[in-house]
Amino acid sequence: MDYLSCTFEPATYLIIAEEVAPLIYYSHFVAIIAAILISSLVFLHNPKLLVSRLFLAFAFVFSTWAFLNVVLWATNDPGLVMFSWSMQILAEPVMYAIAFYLFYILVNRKLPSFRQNSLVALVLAPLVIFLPTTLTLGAVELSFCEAEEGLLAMYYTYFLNLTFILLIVYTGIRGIPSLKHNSDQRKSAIFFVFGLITFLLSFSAANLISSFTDNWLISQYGLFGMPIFAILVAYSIVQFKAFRINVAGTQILIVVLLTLVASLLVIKQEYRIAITALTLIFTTVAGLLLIRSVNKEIKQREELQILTKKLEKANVRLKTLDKQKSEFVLIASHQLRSPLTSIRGYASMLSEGSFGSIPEKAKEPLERIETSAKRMALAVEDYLNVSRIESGNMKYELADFNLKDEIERICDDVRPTALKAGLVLLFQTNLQSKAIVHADVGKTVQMAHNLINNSIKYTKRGTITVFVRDDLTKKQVFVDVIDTGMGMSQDTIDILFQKFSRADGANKVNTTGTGLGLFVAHKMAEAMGGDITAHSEGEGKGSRFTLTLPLAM
Amino acid sequence: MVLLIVTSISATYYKYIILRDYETYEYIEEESVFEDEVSENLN
Repeated sequence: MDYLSCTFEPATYLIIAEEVAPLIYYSHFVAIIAAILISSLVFLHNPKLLVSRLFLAFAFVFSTWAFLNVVLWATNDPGLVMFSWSMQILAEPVMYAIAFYLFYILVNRKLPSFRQNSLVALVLAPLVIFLPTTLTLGAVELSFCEAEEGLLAMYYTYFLNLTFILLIVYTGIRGIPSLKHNSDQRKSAIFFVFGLITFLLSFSAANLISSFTDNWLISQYGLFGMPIFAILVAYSIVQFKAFRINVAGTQILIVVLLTLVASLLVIKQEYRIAITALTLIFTTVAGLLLIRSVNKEIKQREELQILTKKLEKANVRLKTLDKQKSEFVLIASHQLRSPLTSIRGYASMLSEGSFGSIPEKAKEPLERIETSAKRMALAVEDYLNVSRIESGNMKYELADFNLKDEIERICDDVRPTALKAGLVLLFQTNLQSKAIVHADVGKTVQMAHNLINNSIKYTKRGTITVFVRDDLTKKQVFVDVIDTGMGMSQDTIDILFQKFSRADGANKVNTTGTGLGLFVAHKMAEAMGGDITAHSEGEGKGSRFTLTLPLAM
Repeated sequence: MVLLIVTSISATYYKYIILRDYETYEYIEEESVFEDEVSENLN
Protein backbone atom coordinates (compact mmCIF):
# COMPACT_ATOMS: atom_id res chain seq x y z
CA MET A 1 0.00 0.00 0.00
CA ASP A 2 1.24 3.50 -0.84
CA TYR A 3 1.28 5.90 2.03
CA LEU A 4 1.35 9.65 1.87
CA SER A 5 4.86 11.02 2.23
CA CYS A 6 6.55 14.39 2.63
CA THR A 7 7.99 16.27 -0.29
CA PHE A 8 11.58 15.06 0.03
CA GLU A 9 13.33 11.79 -0.68
CA PRO A 10 12.97 8.86 1.77
CA ALA A 11 15.76 8.17 4.28
CA THR A 12 17.85 5.01 4.31
CA TYR A 13 18.25 3.22 7.64
CA LEU A 14 15.85 5.77 9.19
CA ILE A 15 18.53 8.42 9.63
CA ILE A 16 20.56 8.80 6.43
CA ALA A 17 19.19 11.45 4.08
CA GLU A 18 20.48 14.32 1.96
CA GLU A 19 18.49 16.90 3.93
CA VAL A 20 20.45 16.20 7.11
CA ALA A 21 23.55 18.37 7.58
CA PRO A 22 26.66 16.42 8.73
CA LEU A 23 26.78 18.63 11.83
CA ILE A 24 23.51 17.08 13.01
CA TYR A 25 24.97 13.58 12.94
CA TYR A 26 28.06 14.85 14.66
CA SER A 27 26.35 16.75 17.48
CA HIS A 28 23.80 13.99 18.10
CA PHE A 29 26.03 10.96 17.94
CA VAL A 30 28.83 12.50 20.02
CA ALA A 31 26.20 13.23 22.69
CA ILE A 32 24.66 9.74 22.41
CA ILE A 33 28.04 7.96 22.52
CA ALA A 34 29.22 10.09 25.45
CA ALA A 35 26.00 9.56 27.42
CA ILE A 36 25.88 5.78 26.83
CA LEU A 37 29.61 5.28 27.35
CA ILE A 38 29.92 7.27 30.56
CA SER A 39 26.70 5.96 32.10
CA SER A 40 27.61 2.36 31.19
CA LEU A 41 31.04 2.75 32.78
CA VAL A 42 29.51 4.13 35.97
CA PHE A 43 26.88 1.39 35.92
CA LEU A 44 29.39 -1.43 35.35
CA HIS A 45 31.53 -0.23 38.24
CA ASN A 46 28.58 -0.14 40.64
CA PRO A 47 25.64 -2.08 39.12
CA LYS A 48 23.81 -2.37 42.43
CA LEU A 49 23.86 1.33 43.18
CA LEU A 50 20.49 3.00 42.52
CA VAL A 51 22.08 6.21 41.19
CA SER A 52 24.11 4.18 38.66
CA ARG A 53 20.90 2.58 37.37
CA LEU A 54 19.08 5.91 37.25
CA PHE A 55 21.98 7.50 35.38
CA LEU A 56 21.89 4.65 32.85
CA ALA A 57 18.12 5.15 32.44
CA PHE A 58 18.69 8.89 31.98
CA ALA A 59 21.33 8.26 29.30
CA PHE A 60 19.03 5.76 27.58
CA VAL A 61 16.07 8.20 27.46
CA PHE A 62 18.37 11.02 26.31
CA SER A 63 19.89 8.85 23.56
CA THR A 64 16.43 7.82 22.39
CA TRP A 65 15.44 11.49 22.26
CA ALA A 66 18.57 12.42 20.28
CA PHE A 67 18.19 9.47 17.91
CA LEU A 68 14.54 10.36 17.24
CA ASN A 69 15.68 13.91 16.55
CA VAL A 70 17.94 12.66 13.76
CA VAL A 71 15.07 10.48 12.49
CA LEU A 72 12.86 13.60 12.40
CA TRP A 73 15.49 15.44 10.35
CA ALA A 74 15.84 12.57 7.91
CA THR A 75 12.47 10.89 7.42
CA ASN A 76 9.76 11.67 4.90
CA ASP A 77 7.24 9.31 6.47
CA PRO A 78 4.48 11.31 8.23
CA GLY A 79 3.54 8.36 10.48
CA LEU A 80 7.10 8.08 11.71
CA VAL A 81 7.22 11.84 12.22
CA MET A 82 4.10 11.71 14.40
CA PHE A 83 5.42 8.78 16.42
CA SER A 84 8.94 10.19 16.89
CA TRP A 85 7.56 13.61 17.74
CA SER A 86 5.23 12.07 20.37
CA MET A 87 8.11 10.08 21.86
CA GLN A 88 10.24 13.22 22.11
CA ILE A 89 7.41 15.03 23.89
CA LEU A 90 7.27 12.16 26.40
CA ALA A 91 11.06 11.77 26.73
CA GLU A 92 11.76 15.36 27.80
CA PRO A 93 9.76 15.41 31.07
CA VAL A 94 10.82 11.82 31.82
CA MET A 95 14.46 12.97 31.55
CA TYR A 96 13.74 15.83 33.92
CA ALA A 97 11.98 13.45 36.31
CA ILE A 98 14.96 11.05 36.34
CA ALA A 99 17.29 14.03 36.84
CA PHE A 100 15.19 15.01 39.86
CA TYR A 101 15.41 11.48 41.34
CA LEU A 102 19.17 11.33 40.72
CA PHE A 103 19.71 14.67 42.38
CA TYR A 104 17.41 13.85 45.31
CA ILE A 105 19.31 10.63 46.07
CA LEU A 106 22.72 12.31 45.69
CA VAL A 107 21.71 14.99 48.20
CA ASN A 108 19.56 13.06 50.66
CA ARG A 109 20.92 9.49 50.29
CA LYS A 110 17.36 8.13 50.23
CA LEU A 111 14.37 7.93 47.90
CA PRO A 112 11.87 10.82 47.80
CA SER A 113 8.87 10.61 50.12
CA PHE A 114 5.55 9.05 49.09
CA ARG A 115 4.12 12.57 48.64
CA GLN A 116 6.90 13.60 46.25
CA ASN A 117 6.57 10.33 44.30
CA SER A 118 2.82 10.88 44.04
CA LEU A 119 3.39 14.44 42.80
CA VAL A 120 5.76 13.19 40.07
CA ALA A 121 3.28 10.48 38.99
CA LEU A 122 0.35 12.91 39.11
CA VAL A 123 1.95 15.59 36.94
CA LEU A 124 3.29 13.04 34.44
CA ALA A 125 0.00 11.10 34.15
CA PRO A 126 -2.00 13.50 31.88
CA LEU A 127 0.81 13.64 29.31
CA VAL A 128 1.28 9.86 29.35
CA ILE A 129 -2.46 9.13 29.16
CA PHE A 130 -3.21 11.62 26.38
CA LEU A 131 -0.01 10.97 24.41
CA PRO A 132 -1.75 9.11 21.52
CA THR A 133 -4.56 11.67 21.25
CA THR A 134 -4.99 14.91 19.30
CA LEU A 135 -4.44 16.81 22.56
CA THR A 136 -0.71 16.08 22.04
CA LEU A 137 -0.34 16.08 18.25
CA GLY A 138 -3.07 17.12 15.85
CA ALA A 139 -1.82 16.72 12.31
CA VAL A 140 1.29 16.55 10.15
CA GLU A 141 2.09 18.95 7.36
CA LEU A 142 3.71 17.39 4.36
CA SER A 143 6.02 19.97 2.79
CA PHE A 144 8.44 20.13 5.76
CA CYS A 145 7.25 16.94 7.49
CA GLU A 146 6.47 18.66 10.79
CA ALA A 147 3.79 17.79 13.34
CA GLU A 148 1.23 20.28 14.54
CA GLU A 149 1.31 20.30 18.32
CA GLY A 150 -1.85 20.18 20.41
CA LEU A 151 -2.50 21.98 23.70
CA LEU A 152 -0.66 19.40 25.84
CA ALA A 153 2.49 19.49 23.74
CA MET A 154 2.48 23.26 23.45
CA TYR A 155 1.83 24.26 27.05
CA TYR A 156 1.73 21.31 29.44
CA THR A 157 5.28 20.15 28.63
CA TYR A 158 6.62 23.55 29.72
CA PHE A 159 4.66 23.25 32.94
CA LEU A 160 6.08 19.75 33.49
CA ASN A 161 9.70 20.77 32.84
CA LEU A 162 9.26 23.77 35.11
CA THR A 163 7.79 21.56 37.86
CA PHE A 164 10.80 19.25 37.79
CA ILE A 165 13.29 22.13 37.68
CA LEU A 166 11.51 23.66 40.69
CA LEU A 167 11.62 20.28 42.48
CA ILE A 168 15.38 20.07 41.78
CA VAL A 169 15.89 23.65 43.00
CA TYR A 170 13.78 22.96 46.11
CA THR A 171 15.77 19.77 46.85
CA GLY A 172 19.03 21.73 46.42
CA ILE A 173 17.96 24.64 48.65
CA ARG A 174 16.71 22.30 51.38
CA GLY A 175 19.41 19.66 51.13
CA ILE A 176 22.75 21.27 50.21
CA PRO A 177 23.15 23.62 53.23
CA SER A 178 22.68 20.68 55.61
CA LEU A 179 25.60 18.87 53.90
CA LYS A 180 28.18 21.20 55.49
CA HIS A 181 29.61 18.36 57.54
CA ASN A 182 29.97 16.11 54.50
CA SER A 183 32.20 17.76 51.92
CA ASP A 184 32.12 14.77 49.50
CA GLN A 185 28.34 14.65 49.36
CA ARG A 186 28.19 18.43 49.04
CA LYS A 187 30.69 18.34 46.20
CA SER A 188 28.73 15.65 44.37
CA ALA A 189 25.49 17.66 44.70
CA ILE A 190 27.17 20.84 43.45
CA PHE A 191 28.75 19.01 40.49
CA PHE A 192 25.35 17.66 39.54
CA VAL A 193 23.69 21.09 39.68
CA PHE A 194 26.57 22.61 37.73
CA GLY A 195 26.30 19.86 35.08
CA LEU A 196 22.53 20.24 34.80
CA ILE A 197 22.80 24.04 34.47
CA THR A 198 25.48 23.65 31.75
CA PHE A 199 23.27 21.22 29.86
CA LEU A 200 20.11 23.30 30.15
CA LEU A 201 21.93 26.53 29.33
CA SER A 202 23.67 25.13 26.25
CA PHE A 203 20.41 23.52 25.14
CA SER A 204 18.16 26.54 25.64
CA ALA A 205 20.78 29.08 24.50
CA ALA A 206 21.23 27.22 21.22
CA ASN A 207 17.45 27.04 20.80
CA LEU A 208 17.10 30.75 21.54
CA ILE A 209 19.79 31.73 19.04
CA SER A 210 18.13 29.46 16.46
CA SER A 211 14.74 31.06 16.95
CA PHE A 212 16.24 34.57 16.62
CA THR A 213 18.29 33.78 13.53
CA ASP A 214 15.75 31.30 12.18
CA ASN A 215 18.58 28.88 11.59
CA TRP A 216 17.62 25.67 13.37
CA LEU A 217 20.97 24.11 12.62
CA ILE A 218 22.46 26.24 15.42
CA SER A 219 20.16 24.63 17.96
CA GLN A 220 21.96 21.35 17.28
CA TYR A 221 25.10 22.75 18.93
CA GLY A 222 23.10 22.69 22.17
CA LEU A 223 23.56 18.94 22.34
CA PHE A 224 27.29 19.38 22.91
CA GLY A 225 26.30 20.28 26.48
CA MET A 226 25.37 16.62 27.01
CA PRO A 227 28.91 15.14 27.21
CA ILE A 228 29.82 17.80 29.79
CA PHE A 229 26.68 17.00 31.75
CA ALA A 230 27.40 13.27 31.53
CA ILE A 231 30.96 13.77 32.79
CA LEU A 232 29.79 15.92 35.70
CA VAL A 233 26.98 13.51 36.66
CA ALA A 234 29.45 10.64 36.49
CA TYR A 235 31.76 12.60 38.74
CA SER A 236 28.87 13.20 41.17
CA ILE A 237 28.19 9.48 41.34
CA VAL A 238 31.89 8.84 41.74
CA GLN A 239 31.93 11.13 44.76
CA PHE A 240 28.82 9.31 45.97
CA LYS A 241 30.59 5.98 46.25
CA ALA A 242 34.22 4.93 46.11
CA PHE A 243 35.02 4.44 42.45
CA ARG A 244 38.30 4.33 40.59
CA ILE A 245 37.86 7.63 38.79
CA ASN A 246 41.30 7.67 37.23
CA VAL A 247 40.82 4.22 35.67
CA ALA A 248 37.35 5.07 34.33
CA GLY A 249 38.53 8.55 33.34
CA THR A 250 41.41 7.14 31.33
CA GLN A 251 39.09 4.70 29.56
CA ILE A 252 36.68 7.49 28.65
CA LEU A 253 39.50 9.79 27.54
CA ILE A 254 41.00 7.17 25.23
CA VAL A 255 37.70 6.13 23.63
CA VAL A 256 36.54 9.72 23.06
CA LEU A 257 39.93 10.85 21.75
CA LEU A 258 40.03 7.87 19.38
CA THR A 259 36.53 8.69 18.12
CA LEU A 260 37.39 12.35 17.65
CA VAL A 261 40.70 11.75 15.92
CA ALA A 262 39.28 8.98 13.71
CA SER A 263 36.44 11.25 12.64
CA LEU A 264 39.04 13.77 11.35
CA LEU A 265 39.87 11.23 8.64
CA VAL A 266 36.35 11.05 7.25
CA ILE A 267 34.90 14.48 7.99
CA LYS A 268 34.75 17.33 5.48
CA GLN A 269 37.42 20.05 5.57
CA GLU A 270 35.08 22.81 6.86
CA TYR A 271 34.20 20.86 10.00
CA ARG A 272 37.79 19.98 10.90
CA ILE A 273 38.42 23.16 12.87
CA ALA A 274 35.28 22.56 14.96
CA ILE A 275 36.35 18.98 15.73
CA THR A 276 39.91 20.00 16.55
CA ALA A 277 38.56 22.66 18.92
CA LEU A 278 36.25 20.12 20.52
CA THR A 279 39.13 17.65 20.92
CA LEU A 280 41.21 20.38 22.55
CA ILE A 281 38.44 21.30 25.01
CA PHE A 282 37.76 17.68 25.86
CA THR A 283 41.44 16.83 26.34
CA THR A 284 41.92 19.88 28.55
CA VAL A 285 38.92 19.12 30.80
CA ALA A 286 39.58 15.37 31.04
CA GLY A 287 43.33 15.94 31.46
CA LEU A 288 42.82 18.42 34.30
CA LEU A 289 40.42 16.06 36.06
CA LEU A 290 42.87 13.18 35.71
CA ILE A 291 45.84 15.22 36.94
CA ARG A 292 43.81 16.34 39.94
CA SER A 293 42.78 12.80 40.76
CA VAL A 294 46.32 11.45 40.41
CA ASN A 295 47.66 14.27 42.61
CA LYS A 296 44.99 13.53 45.20
CA GLU A 297 45.87 9.85 45.19
CA ILE A 298 49.61 10.55 45.58
CA LYS A 299 48.87 12.92 48.46
CA GLN A 300 46.64 10.34 50.12
CA ARG A 301 49.32 7.66 49.71
CA GLU A 302 51.95 9.91 51.30
CA GLU A 303 49.61 10.70 54.19
CA LEU A 304 48.92 6.99 54.57
CA GLN A 305 52.64 6.20 54.74
CA ILE A 306 53.20 8.83 57.43
CA LEU A 307 50.21 7.51 59.38
CA THR A 308 51.47 3.91 59.09
CA LYS A 309 54.83 4.92 60.53
CA LYS A 310 53.12 6.78 63.38
CA LEU A 311 50.90 3.77 63.97
CA GLU A 312 53.89 1.42 64.12
CA LYS A 313 55.56 3.64 66.74
CA ALA A 314 52.34 3.93 68.71
CA ASN A 315 51.92 0.16 68.59
CA VAL A 316 55.39 -0.48 69.99
CA ARG A 317 54.78 2.10 72.72
CA LEU A 318 51.42 0.52 73.53
CA LYS A 319 52.97 -2.94 73.85
CA THR A 320 55.59 -1.55 76.26
CA LEU A 321 52.92 0.25 78.25
CA ASP A 322 50.77 -2.89 78.39
CA LYS A 323 53.71 -4.92 79.65
CA GLN A 324 54.49 -2.27 82.25
CA LYS A 325 50.85 -2.20 83.31
CA SER A 326 50.74 -5.99 83.75
CA GLU A 327 53.95 -5.86 85.79
CA PHE A 328 52.55 -3.05 87.90
CA VAL A 329 49.31 -4.95 88.57
CA LEU A 330 51.30 -8.08 89.40
CA ILE A 331 53.53 -6.27 91.88
CA ALA A 332 50.66 -4.24 93.37
CA SER A 333 48.48 -7.31 93.75
CA HIS A 334 51.30 -9.24 95.43
CA GLN A 335 51.85 -6.33 97.79
CA LEU A 336 48.14 -6.33 98.58
CA ARG A 337 47.85 -10.06 99.04
CA SER A 338 50.28 -10.44 101.94
CA PRO A 339 48.66 -7.78 104.22
CA LEU A 340 45.24 -9.17 103.29
CA THR A 341 46.25 -12.65 104.43
CA SER A 342 47.30 -11.15 107.78
CA ILE A 343 44.03 -9.22 108.14
CA ARG A 344 41.96 -12.34 107.34
CA GLY A 345 44.06 -14.55 109.60
CA TYR A 346 43.98 -12.23 112.64
CA ALA A 347 40.26 -11.44 112.15
CA SER A 348 39.52 -15.17 112.06
CA MET A 349 41.65 -15.80 115.17
CA LEU A 350 39.91 -12.92 116.97
CA SER A 351 36.43 -14.25 116.20
CA GLU A 352 37.44 -17.78 117.22
CA GLY A 353 38.56 -16.38 120.62
CA SER A 354 42.27 -17.06 120.26
CA PHE A 355 42.95 -13.77 122.06
CA GLY A 356 40.29 -14.19 124.69
CA SER A 357 36.58 -13.56 124.50
CA ILE A 358 35.45 -10.50 122.62
CA PRO A 359 32.50 -8.35 123.56
CA GLU A 360 29.14 -9.10 121.83
CA LYS A 361 29.09 -5.59 120.28
CA ALA A 362 32.40 -6.19 118.50
CA LYS A 363 31.30 -9.50 116.89
CA GLU A 364 29.33 -7.96 114.00
CA PRO A 365 32.05 -5.46 112.97
CA LEU A 366 34.56 -8.31 113.13
CA GLU A 367 32.36 -10.42 110.84
CA ARG A 368 32.23 -7.53 108.40
CA ILE A 369 36.01 -7.23 108.44
CA GLU A 370 36.25 -10.94 107.58
CA THR A 371 33.70 -10.76 104.73
CA SER A 372 35.24 -7.64 103.23
CA ALA A 373 38.76 -9.04 103.45
CA LYS A 374 37.59 -12.27 101.80
CA ARG A 375 35.91 -10.31 99.00
CA MET A 376 39.01 -8.21 98.53
CA ALA A 377 41.24 -11.29 98.42
CA LEU A 378 39.05 -12.76 95.66
CA ALA A 379 39.27 -9.49 93.66
CA VAL A 380 43.04 -9.37 94.09
CA GLU A 381 43.19 -12.99 92.96
CA ASP A 382 41.21 -12.05 89.81
CA TYR A 383 43.59 -9.14 89.05
CA LEU A 384 46.57 -11.40 89.58
CA ASN A 385 45.10 -14.01 87.25
CA VAL A 386 44.46 -11.40 84.55
CA SER A 387 48.00 -10.07 84.74
CA ARG A 388 49.38 -13.64 84.71
CA ILE A 389 47.28 -14.51 81.66
CA GLU A 390 48.28 -11.33 79.84
CA SER A 391 51.96 -11.68 80.60
CA GLY A 392 51.84 -15.39 79.70
CA ASN A 393 52.92 -16.42 83.19
CA MET A 394 49.89 -18.51 84.07
CA LYS A 395 51.05 -22.01 84.95
CA TYR A 396 48.86 -25.03 84.27
CA GLU A 397 49.54 -28.34 85.96
CA LEU A 398 47.81 -30.70 83.59
CA ALA A 399 46.81 -34.13 84.87
CA ASP A 400 44.09 -36.75 84.34
CA PHE A 401 41.21 -36.58 86.83
CA ASN A 402 37.53 -37.47 87.10
CA LEU A 403 35.59 -34.34 86.21
CA LYS A 404 32.21 -35.78 87.27
CA ASP A 405 33.44 -36.43 90.81
CA GLU A 406 34.96 -32.94 91.11
CA ILE A 407 31.78 -31.25 89.87
CA GLU A 408 29.61 -33.33 92.20
CA ARG A 409 31.83 -32.31 95.11
CA ILE A 410 31.55 -28.64 94.17
CA CYS A 411 27.75 -28.98 93.99
CA ASP A 412 27.70 -30.49 97.48
CA ASP A 413 29.87 -27.61 98.75
CA VAL A 414 27.76 -24.91 97.15
CA ARG A 415 24.31 -26.43 97.84
CA PRO A 416 23.95 -24.78 101.31
CA THR A 417 24.60 -21.35 99.74
CA ALA A 418 21.97 -22.08 97.09
CA LEU A 419 19.47 -23.24 99.72
CA LYS A 420 20.16 -20.07 101.71
CA ALA A 421 19.25 -18.08 98.59
CA GLY A 422 16.02 -20.14 98.24
CA LEU A 423 17.25 -22.10 95.24
CA VAL A 424 17.35 -25.80 94.40
CA LEU A 425 20.70 -27.05 93.07
CA LEU A 426 20.46 -30.25 91.05
CA PHE A 427 23.31 -32.43 89.84
CA GLN A 428 22.67 -34.67 86.82
CA THR A 429 24.81 -36.73 84.46
CA ASN A 430 24.51 -38.44 81.11
CA LEU A 431 27.87 -40.06 80.52
CA GLN A 432 29.11 -42.76 78.23
CA SER A 433 32.63 -42.55 79.61
CA LYS A 434 34.12 -42.10 83.07
CA ALA A 435 34.57 -38.38 82.31
CA ILE A 436 38.32 -38.47 82.88
CA VAL A 437 39.71 -35.18 81.57
CA HIS A 438 43.22 -33.92 81.04
CA ALA A 439 43.36 -30.50 82.71
CA ASP A 440 44.49 -28.51 85.75
CA VAL A 441 42.32 -29.68 88.68
CA GLY A 442 42.60 -26.47 90.73
CA LYS A 443 41.74 -24.23 87.82
CA THR A 444 38.90 -26.49 86.66
CA VAL A 445 37.39 -26.34 90.14
CA GLN A 446 37.84 -22.55 90.13
CA MET A 447 36.06 -22.27 86.75
CA ALA A 448 33.17 -24.53 87.79
CA HIS A 449 32.83 -22.65 91.10
CA ASN A 450 32.76 -19.39 89.19
CA LEU A 451 29.99 -20.56 86.85
CA ILE A 452 27.80 -22.10 89.59
CA ASN A 453 28.28 -19.12 91.94
CA ASN A 454 27.37 -16.75 89.10
CA SER A 455 24.16 -18.68 88.51
CA ILE A 456 23.27 -18.47 92.21
CA LYS A 457 23.96 -14.72 92.24
CA TYR A 458 21.84 -13.96 89.20
CA THR A 459 18.89 -16.28 89.97
CA LYS A 460 16.17 -15.04 92.32
CA ARG A 461 14.07 -18.20 92.40
CA GLY A 462 13.86 -21.59 90.76
CA THR A 463 16.50 -24.20 90.08
CA ILE A 464 20.10 -24.44 89.06
CA THR A 465 20.91 -27.63 87.22
CA VAL A 466 24.49 -28.79 86.80
CA PHE A 467 24.61 -31.37 84.05
CA VAL A 468 27.72 -33.36 83.16
CA ARG A 469 27.64 -35.06 79.73
CA ASP A 470 30.16 -36.25 77.17
CA ASP A 471 30.57 -36.71 73.43
CA LEU A 472 32.87 -39.56 72.52
CA THR A 473 33.12 -38.65 68.84
CA LYS A 474 34.29 -35.14 69.71
CA LYS A 475 36.25 -36.52 72.67
CA GLN A 476 34.93 -33.83 74.98
CA VAL A 477 33.18 -33.55 78.33
CA PHE A 478 30.64 -30.79 78.92
CA VAL A 479 29.48 -29.21 82.17
CA ASP A 480 26.21 -27.30 81.64
CA VAL A 481 25.16 -24.87 84.35
CA ILE A 482 21.51 -24.11 83.60
CA ASP A 483 19.57 -21.59 85.67
CA THR A 484 16.12 -20.00 85.74
CA GLY A 485 17.57 -16.55 86.44
CA MET A 486 17.63 -13.15 84.81
CA GLY A 487 19.00 -14.29 81.42
CA MET A 488 20.82 -12.10 78.90
CA SER A 489 20.37 -10.45 75.54
CA GLN A 490 22.59 -11.47 72.59
CA ASP A 491 24.41 -8.12 72.89
CA THR A 492 25.39 -8.98 76.47
CA ILE A 493 26.50 -12.50 75.48
CA ASP A 494 28.74 -10.99 72.78
CA ILE A 495 30.76 -9.00 75.32
CA LEU A 496 30.39 -11.34 78.30
CA PHE A 497 33.87 -12.86 78.11
CA GLN A 498 35.65 -9.55 77.67
CA LYS A 499 37.66 -7.92 80.43
CA PHE A 500 35.66 -5.78 82.92
CA SER A 501 32.39 -6.46 81.08
CA ARG A 502 29.29 -7.17 83.11
CA ALA A 503 25.77 -8.13 82.13
CA ASP A 504 23.12 -5.43 81.84
CA GLY A 505 21.53 -4.89 85.24
CA ALA A 506 24.21 -7.03 86.91
CA ASN A 507 25.02 -4.19 89.31
CA LYS A 508 21.50 -4.33 90.73
CA VAL A 509 21.89 -7.98 91.68
CA ASN A 510 25.57 -8.29 92.45
CA THR A 511 27.49 -5.20 93.49
CA THR A 512 30.79 -6.85 94.25
CA GLY A 513 31.75 -8.41 90.87
CA THR A 514 34.88 -7.18 89.11
CA GLY A 515 33.85 -8.24 85.63
CA LEU A 516 36.97 -10.41 85.47
CA GLY A 517 35.69 -13.81 86.62
CA LEU A 518 34.31 -14.99 83.26
CA PHE A 519 37.25 -13.46 81.37
CA VAL A 520 39.71 -15.42 83.52
CA ALA A 521 37.65 -18.64 83.39
CA HIS A 522 37.29 -18.40 79.60
CA LYS A 523 41.03 -17.85 79.09
CA MET A 524 41.85 -20.74 81.41
CA ALA A 525 39.45 -23.11 79.60
CA GLU A 526 40.96 -22.12 76.24
CA ALA A 527 44.50 -22.65 77.54
CA MET A 528 43.53 -26.19 78.58
CA GLY A 529 42.11 -27.00 75.12
CA GLY A 530 38.51 -26.39 76.14
CA ASP A 531 36.02 -23.55 76.04
CA ILE A 532 33.24 -21.78 77.91
CA THR A 533 30.13 -20.70 76.02
CA ALA A 534 27.01 -18.85 77.09
CA HIS A 535 23.47 -19.20 75.80
CA SER A 536 20.23 -17.48 76.73
CA GLU A 537 16.78 -17.17 75.16
CA GLY A 538 16.74 -13.53 76.29
CA GLU A 539 16.35 -11.37 79.36
CA GLY A 540 14.30 -13.02 82.11
CA LYS A 541 14.48 -16.41 80.38
CA GLY A 542 17.42 -17.99 82.24
CA SER A 543 20.90 -18.83 80.96
CA ARG A 544 23.06 -21.83 80.17
CA PHE A 545 26.84 -21.75 80.56
CA THR A 546 28.80 -24.68 79.18
CA LEU A 547 32.33 -25.58 80.19
CA THR A 548 34.00 -27.90 77.69
CA LEU A 549 37.17 -29.87 78.44
CA PRO A 550 38.98 -32.51 76.39
CA LEU A 551 38.67 -36.15 77.41
CA ALA A 552 41.95 -37.76 78.50
CA MET A 553 43.37 -39.93 75.71
CA MET B 1 3.82 4.42 36.13
CA VAL B 2 6.25 2.38 34.01
CA LEU B 3 3.34 0.18 32.86
CA LEU B 4 1.31 3.26 31.97
CA ILE B 5 4.21 4.71 29.96
CA VAL B 6 4.76 1.41 28.10
CA THR B 7 1.02 1.16 27.31
CA SER B 8 0.97 4.75 26.10
CA ILE B 9 4.03 4.23 23.86
CA SER B 10 2.45 1.06 22.41
CA ALA B 11 -0.83 2.91 21.75
CA THR B 12 1.07 5.76 20.04
CA TYR B 13 2.99 3.28 17.90
CA TYR B 14 -0.21 1.45 16.99
CA LYS B 15 -1.98 4.72 16.09
CA TYR B 16 0.72 6.39 14.01
CA ILE B 17 2.78 3.54 12.55
CA ILE B 18 0.26 0.73 12.14
CA LEU B 19 -3.10 2.48 11.72
CA ARG B 20 -1.52 5.68 10.29
CA ASP B 21 -4.36 7.58 11.91
CA TYR B 22 -3.46 11.27 11.53
CA GLU B 23 -4.57 14.30 9.62
CA THR B 24 -2.32 15.80 6.98
CA TYR B 25 -2.23 19.13 5.26
CA GLU B 26 -0.06 20.86 2.68
CA TYR B 27 2.20 23.62 3.94
CA ILE B 28 0.61 26.73 2.46
CA GLU B 29 0.53 28.90 5.57
CA GLU B 30 3.20 31.41 4.44
CA GLU B 31 1.43 32.01 1.17
CA SER B 32 -1.95 32.38 2.83
CA VAL B 33 -0.55 34.80 5.43
CA PHE B 34 0.98 36.80 2.61
CA GLU B 35 -2.26 36.72 0.70
CA ASP B 36 -4.22 37.73 3.80
CA GLU B 37 -1.92 40.68 4.43
CA VAL B 38 -2.12 41.77 0.78
CA SER B 39 -5.88 41.49 0.73
CA GLU B 40 -6.10 43.39 4.06
CA ASN B 41 -3.91 46.19 2.67
CA LEU B 42 -5.91 46.33 -0.47
CA ASN B 43 -9.10 46.60 1.49
